[in-house]
Amino acid sequence: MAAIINPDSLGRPVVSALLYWRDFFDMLHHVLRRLWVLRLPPVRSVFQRQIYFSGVQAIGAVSMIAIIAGVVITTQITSLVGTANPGVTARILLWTLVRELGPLLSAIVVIARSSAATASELATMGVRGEIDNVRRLGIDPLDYLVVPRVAGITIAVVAITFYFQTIAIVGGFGFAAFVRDFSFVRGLASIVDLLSLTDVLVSLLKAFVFGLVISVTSCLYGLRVGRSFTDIPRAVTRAVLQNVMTLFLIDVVITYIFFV
Amino acid sequence: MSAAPTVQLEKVSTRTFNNLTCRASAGQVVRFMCAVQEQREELWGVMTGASAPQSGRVDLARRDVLALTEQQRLEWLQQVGTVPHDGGLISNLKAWENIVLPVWYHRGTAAAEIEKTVVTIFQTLGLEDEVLRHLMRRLPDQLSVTERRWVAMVRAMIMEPPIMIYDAPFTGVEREAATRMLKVLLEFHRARGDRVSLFLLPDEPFSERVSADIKIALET
Repeated sequence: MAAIINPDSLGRPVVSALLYWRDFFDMLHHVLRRLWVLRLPPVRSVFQRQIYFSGVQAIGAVSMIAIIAGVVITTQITSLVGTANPGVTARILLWTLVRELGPLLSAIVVIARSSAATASELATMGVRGEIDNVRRLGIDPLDYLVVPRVAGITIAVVAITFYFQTIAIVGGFGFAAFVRDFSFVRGLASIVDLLSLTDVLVSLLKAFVFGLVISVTSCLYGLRVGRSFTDIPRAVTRAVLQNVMTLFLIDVVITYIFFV
Repeated sequence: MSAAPTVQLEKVSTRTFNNLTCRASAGQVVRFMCAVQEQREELWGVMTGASAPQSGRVDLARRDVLALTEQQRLEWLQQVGTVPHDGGLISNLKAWENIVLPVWYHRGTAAAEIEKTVVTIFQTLGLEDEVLRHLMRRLPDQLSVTERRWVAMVRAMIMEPPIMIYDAPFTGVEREAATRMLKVLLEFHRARGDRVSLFLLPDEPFSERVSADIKIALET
């Protein structure tokens, strides 16, 4: 009788996932152990450039998505519960935007920009033999190329998440106040009343973990390439896909731990 | 009693050459004339610790290169200046940033401190100030092979290493520029009495002009 489940096709993704997590934690361990290299001026320079690219230059895209998300969600809520009770609107906005969509959408923007860029940059360097060039200068490529990128992207994701949430709430309430009979000030006051320390900390924790996952995964896939240029798009696609899947998985885990 | 050689290759064999032996002491220039490109590439890999030979022992800066751990190798590479055939530059750094990178990373030396030395070397190579300023602002992909090698050369020199390894530095460079390069390299070699310079050269006419204390020809 033919086997319904092919053990080979079942085993390969499991092995691949295990290898990914092993390499992920190896790299993360290296980064945490060697974080002090950020004191070295050339490493700090890469770190600052990374924050600029992943954080400052992402502000335009993040602002637009935040305003749209805020407007859409506020419109839906006010359609459902009306405008007379800003407290309910604020509570639902808090649940959706601060707890869930804020960290997730901010991380997705960073994946779209920085994950793809980091993976392709490192992959190109690998294919062109530049990782060996860095090593030949007596510089550990992980110290010079990975540590500042991981630190920079992680900080950028945390900052962008906070910025996203603020803009989305203000934008959403502003729009509701402009087109409907909604009290902008009462809405904001309700948010401040309802916002707990746990909400803020869990939201930042999510952003921090997302930042680590995005940066380490992107560097990992970027550095895994061989010597062929055709490996580069494959590395980028895998990094982006792996990041998106891991992000949702981690989001579920953190939400379950803190809010269920 | 003579001092132990700074560079020692003992019966090194790879796919393309066999039983290569060489002992160079402080202050000597060694010229390896390679009949085929693969020999040069393999010798370069062996000497920089990037690849292991099939057999033999490689000692550079009195360290057994093959026995080094990754961390030891990184420390050892700070003692060995390398000028790869293609320049070996980092593509997302400008020429000036490439030059500064190792000295800034390892010693924290600010760019301004080495600027004068860099300018002097490039002037000896025949570059005018304006050309040099333009060169320093460009990315490696915007440079010619010769310019990339100049940048790699200066980057290695700034570190003042006791051992220098050059991989076909004059190949493809026009004769006049190659002559100036050779002059700069030999002056740099003599500037420090205990420096050992290793030239890995293809079998071409200009290679004969590299005057060396030890001349080794790798046959096919």
